[in-house]
Amino acid sequence: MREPILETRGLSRRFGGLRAVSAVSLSFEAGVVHAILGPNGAGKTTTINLLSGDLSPSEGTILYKGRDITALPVHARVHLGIGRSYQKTNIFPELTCLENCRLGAQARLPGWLNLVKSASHYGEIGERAERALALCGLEARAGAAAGTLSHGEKRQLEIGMTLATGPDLLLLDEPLAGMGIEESRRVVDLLKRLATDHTLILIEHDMDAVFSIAERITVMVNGAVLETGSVEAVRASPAVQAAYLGEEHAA
Amino acid sequence: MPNRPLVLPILFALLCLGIALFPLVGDTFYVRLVAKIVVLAIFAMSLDLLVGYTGLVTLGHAAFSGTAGYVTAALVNKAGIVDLPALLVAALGAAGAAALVIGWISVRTSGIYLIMITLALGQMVFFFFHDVAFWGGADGVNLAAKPELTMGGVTLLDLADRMVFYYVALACLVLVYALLFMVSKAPFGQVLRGIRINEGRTRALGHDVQRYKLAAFVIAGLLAGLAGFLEVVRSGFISPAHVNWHESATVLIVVILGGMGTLVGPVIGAAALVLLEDWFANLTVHWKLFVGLFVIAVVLVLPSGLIGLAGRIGALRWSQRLRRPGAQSAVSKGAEVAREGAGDA
Repeated sequence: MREPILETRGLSRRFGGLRAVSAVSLSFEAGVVHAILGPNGAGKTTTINLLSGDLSPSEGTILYKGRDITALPVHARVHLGIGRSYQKTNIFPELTCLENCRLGAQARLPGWLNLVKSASHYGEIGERAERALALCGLEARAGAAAGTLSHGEKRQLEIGMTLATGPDLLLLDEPLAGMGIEESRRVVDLLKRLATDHTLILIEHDMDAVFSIAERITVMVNGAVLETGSVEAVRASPAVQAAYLGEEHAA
Repeated sequence: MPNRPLVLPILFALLCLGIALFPLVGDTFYVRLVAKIVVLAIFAMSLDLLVGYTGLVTLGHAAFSGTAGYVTAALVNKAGIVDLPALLVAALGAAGAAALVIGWISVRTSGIYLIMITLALGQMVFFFFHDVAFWGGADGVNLAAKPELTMGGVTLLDLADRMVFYYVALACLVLVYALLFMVSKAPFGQVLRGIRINEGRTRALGHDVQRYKLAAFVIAGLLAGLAGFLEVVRSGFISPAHVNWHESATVLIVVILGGMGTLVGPVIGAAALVLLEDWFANLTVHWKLFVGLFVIAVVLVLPSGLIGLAGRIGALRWSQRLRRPGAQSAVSKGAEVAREGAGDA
């Protein structure tokens, strides 16, 4: 087993009386694409929100590269190399694609009170933003206002902005949500390219996509981990077949 | 206006040129009125950083200008200090400290709660100056002497001279504009813009938005302090009314009237408000009613403020020159571009 980049121990999150995530202990290996599956309401997005820092856990700890990051806010986790994309497109519609990425690239500037020099004169911001834009396949749309993009392009930008922050670990919440076949294929190709030098944790409902990208799979039901393991092991698990995958994947 | 990014700075330069040349032709009364406009414009520009650029609508901005004004008056009247640099440092320091404290508490909230908490904290500052006898009570105090800049026994700037004050205030207007323009283009300003458009995503991209908001508060507070200093020197008088929430509301109206997030808009808004008040006050005792109607009309017809008017007129001329059946759509498109541009720059 390879070195874990991210570990959770007894991670729980309650909303009032509802246990959205309960006692999740998972280990995510560096360089591996790890998919989280489960029916709606299984606690997948809540788990991602706990890992990114958008939510703080009710109980449990999160270790990133061996360091306890449970108490760190979102922005501090980004600086450690954890980037996330959202299920519901979350971009800056009035800004151009490049400006969207520049804002991500800026996060890696040393210091924060950069008041004097124009942002456009920081070479490293521009380079990082352009690299991210090229990687997510939107080079040609650099100058277009993000709000005018097609749905698929917005999803690509969503990932590109996250890439611009220079992450080692990407948390992707349904990167293929609402996409057509052609658009899906483009993003799957992008994810495969990213997998070569990033660790990916993704939630996705598109089973064909998941089985073509993921090396490890965790299945969640009712906030708890039902099964976790290699793709083959999870596909073969009777519990998973009964709970989620159904007859068509059972063969 | 991504393709015409210099329109607003050029407009600002023209306005300043007009203000600089005005004393050559205008009579004393109107020169005084323009000085009032310049100081109000600085005050409004400082608020624009919060309201227009960062999307933080506050209703306590007079706390910062008022604090600076009161500190200036106390140092002049009670300690006999008239040294311009010393007074400026003290006034801006006090305003900045007030902004640090009020900002530190306020940035934890947003939207209507931010408006309410800045209003409440602003009113606490108001009652502090109103009720503590040291500051001079409800009637306010006159400034016993005007600040001056002396070096080696030679008086370089004597703010008691109205023309000296006029050009010092204008220089401050240019400086504040240049400073805020620079900040808005810098990485810091880009993050503020991100916070205005989508705060959550800005945080998820690795920016500590709370810290940025607080820094914006302090910068805005310092510059409001400069305006407060200039105002007490200009009028030679400070009273609790200068710290009251009416003052905060007035400056917010100036920003909205002129055009938020443009820096030039607040200058135009300040000019419009001061000149209209003067004009209506000559016509009727109910002048406030008419000023109010004007503000409502502008907000309804020109959602991007008076600065949007320039964009609309420009678009109209352009489309008339084209003389095509599609001219009508060109007008609305042009206005749209102007509106976006006003928000963008």
